[in-house]
Amino acid sequence: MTESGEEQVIKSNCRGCHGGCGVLVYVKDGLITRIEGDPDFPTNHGTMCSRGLAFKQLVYHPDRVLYPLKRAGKKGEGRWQRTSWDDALDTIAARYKRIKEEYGAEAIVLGYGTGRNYENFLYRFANLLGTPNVLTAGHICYGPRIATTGITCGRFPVSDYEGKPSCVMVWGNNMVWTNPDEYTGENLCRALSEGAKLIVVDPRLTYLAGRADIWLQLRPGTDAALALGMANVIVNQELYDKEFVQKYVYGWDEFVGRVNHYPLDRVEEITWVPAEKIEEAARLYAQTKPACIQWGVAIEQTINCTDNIRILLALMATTGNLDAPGGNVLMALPPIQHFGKLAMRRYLPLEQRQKQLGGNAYKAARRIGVTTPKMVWDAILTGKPYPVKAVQLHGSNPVITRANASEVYKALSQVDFLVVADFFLTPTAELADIVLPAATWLEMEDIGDYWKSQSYVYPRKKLVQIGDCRSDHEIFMELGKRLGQKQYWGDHVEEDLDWVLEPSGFTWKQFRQLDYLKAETAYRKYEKKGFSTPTGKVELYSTTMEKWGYDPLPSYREIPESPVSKPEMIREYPYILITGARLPVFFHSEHRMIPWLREIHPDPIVEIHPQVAEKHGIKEGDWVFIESPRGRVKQRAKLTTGIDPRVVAAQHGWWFPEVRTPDHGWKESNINILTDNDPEGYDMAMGSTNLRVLLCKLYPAEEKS
Amino acid sequence: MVWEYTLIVNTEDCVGCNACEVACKQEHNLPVGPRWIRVYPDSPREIEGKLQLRYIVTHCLHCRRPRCKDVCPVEAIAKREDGIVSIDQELCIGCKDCIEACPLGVMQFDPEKEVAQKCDLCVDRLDRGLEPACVAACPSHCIYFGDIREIIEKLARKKLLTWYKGVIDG
Repeated sequence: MTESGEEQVIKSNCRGCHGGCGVLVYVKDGLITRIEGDPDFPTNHGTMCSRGLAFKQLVYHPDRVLYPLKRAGKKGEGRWQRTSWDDALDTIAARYKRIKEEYGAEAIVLGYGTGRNYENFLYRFANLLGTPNVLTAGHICYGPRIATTGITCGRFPVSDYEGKPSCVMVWGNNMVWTNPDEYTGENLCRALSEGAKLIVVDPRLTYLAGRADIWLQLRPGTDAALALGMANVIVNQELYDKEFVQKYVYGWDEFVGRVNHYPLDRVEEITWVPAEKIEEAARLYAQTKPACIQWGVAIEQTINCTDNIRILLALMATTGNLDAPGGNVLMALPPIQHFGKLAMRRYLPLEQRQKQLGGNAYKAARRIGVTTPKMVWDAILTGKPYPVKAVQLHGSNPVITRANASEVYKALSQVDFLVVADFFLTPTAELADIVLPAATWLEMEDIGDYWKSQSYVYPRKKLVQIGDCRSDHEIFMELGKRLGQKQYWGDHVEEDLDWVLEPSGFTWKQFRQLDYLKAETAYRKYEKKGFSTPTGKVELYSTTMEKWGYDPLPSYREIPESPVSKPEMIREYPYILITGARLPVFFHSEHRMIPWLREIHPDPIVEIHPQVAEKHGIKEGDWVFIESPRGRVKQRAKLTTGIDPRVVAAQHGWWFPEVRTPDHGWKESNINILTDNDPEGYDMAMGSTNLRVLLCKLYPAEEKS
Repeated sequence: MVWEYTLIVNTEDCVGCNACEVACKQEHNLPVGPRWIRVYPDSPREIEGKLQLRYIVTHCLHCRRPRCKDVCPVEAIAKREDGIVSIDQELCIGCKDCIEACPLGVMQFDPEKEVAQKCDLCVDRLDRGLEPACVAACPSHCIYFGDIREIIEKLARKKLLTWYKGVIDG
């Protein structure tokens, strides 16, 4: 905390999204006056995004939950009673004890949304409690890449902007608007201004797609076919790194055999991308050294999730760009305790681990301890395979952000006991029995780590106290102590952080004075020690997938609800709907209440080709209904030639904090009313929900109510 | 040589992230309403043989012969020696004549204070040796600040749209 008097400038690290941008925080008389980028910080070089720059408005927002709240009326009625932390935590602990005795710890589900560096502590709490059920976005966001790269080459390969790529292939990502968890968009902008070639794979025209040397505007959901087509070119035109393939690739012949099932004429038919463009892109990527692939979540939110990742990894490896400077690099682990140790995973008994919902069906997801959401909703609603009696969510708004929102809403309305820790009363928090006021990154002592994929760790500092808000870390610690976990937690947060930092040789107090720590980047480590896989090589033929009973080679599967799979649906639902394109001013369902951000983007927008709009009598700015077999919502039309006339792109994450009833308009424009969570559409190994491709129809709506 | 400050955006490099807008809001503590710098998407257009999505960025260019200054009935608007066109918030009577006069439509109105406002090139930051807030925040480094002649020279190599020069010269 700071003294009153003159303005102080304190270095910290933003966590408006997953975090990672060094910032200067100006504090005067105990109030945050300004947040700016830190010019000395190596990942953002003083630049910031709109969300981080507006964060002051979130900290001091009049709608923030400032005290623990207990439900005072019926569920979802919006009547709350203020209570103390002791009462809230005692109530939760007593309830969990009862549930554990009666139904087993697995009946309690812990969850987080995007995760904000407290995952370590959430998992620790869950593991010590004895529940294997942690409900995250890990099945559709980053988790699949962690799990799949882990079994294929040992570790997540990060685009190495510090190594100066000469070619960047951006695949299903828009990092100039959102943080892809490692380097920020500024680093890509720098690479481009220094002349790096750019290939963009995206069904929509974005700034990057327009700027690209080659833009591959594919049919949504056909990424795997496109990547296999590129691999076909690289293999058959002998553009691959022969020495690398010979020494460090496992299953080359089998991989070549599979790739030969995808000649370019077939790939063109599947993807809508002209064969010569695919060839041109494959040649540019393979022949410009070094080249990196900047991949995003679009490749994960489909039935082809693990295979999309495996094929793109194959492109990195076969072209000699894996672990090469300026390519995709397996960064060293930062000098802190590793995840498994922090999460105390070994304390979760084997018999409990085996009860993980969906675990036996989705083995890659089980490997990283991620539960498929629908399994939780089903367990709540049907009691099968066993009942789920309590859900505790941190920074998560699944009513808005998970597929088949109507089912999510129903399940969370019906679960016996719901605890939500958040900044605001979101549509999800409104269904809770207890709401805990969460602290922002300006209100806590914390260590940020980029999911430990990028070698950096950095301190965050408590600069202000808002209401009775507490950090999620502290909440898990205090709750854990009430549930017999005392010896596994520090006496206070700082003591825990000392232990996190132990491998670095620093105490929290010392580390707090530093800007960051970084493990040194080493390249081509495989020359000395191979890759951390069962065969010690990059497994283009995956022995792990084979062991798990899946196809060891990647392939392309058609999405169940597509014009190809369900031609009979086209008459009623003629358009391919894609959802989830990122916005520059919001992070998923967050920030709709921040005045500076909402002013820039007041309404949900659906992108429609002008020809399609004309056909349906839709004009620019009109409210239109978008409807799928699951339901319909309204968004405002934006007419653009940057999208194929057969495709419509709707935004996700919309609710309306300004609607003061407890539902906050969650049904109005929430695109997940339309998405499906039928397991038929899941990736077989990850259980990833298909959020990106479904069929819809469009028609004009009257003014939004 | 007299220093003639201005701010110019190279829209070829603008990624449309809105960071400059919010940096400006924060720096000047602006309410909803006035947007001293504003970014919005252009319609997709064919540029150099390919479909591109560019952004339009509007802000005061600190014209050499500012029409806003000419029309102000209370002489609240001044062209300083260093090139900055400034509005004296105490003198402004909120008549909005300058808003009509501005050829770029970038003059803003603060509904709370009922005065005209616009980009002041962050004079307070300049005094502290810092660059304007939008320039510092911009992840694509596409906002150029400094002496107008220097920027034009720098950007000439980058095929700067010529209308900028025309507008500034009035």
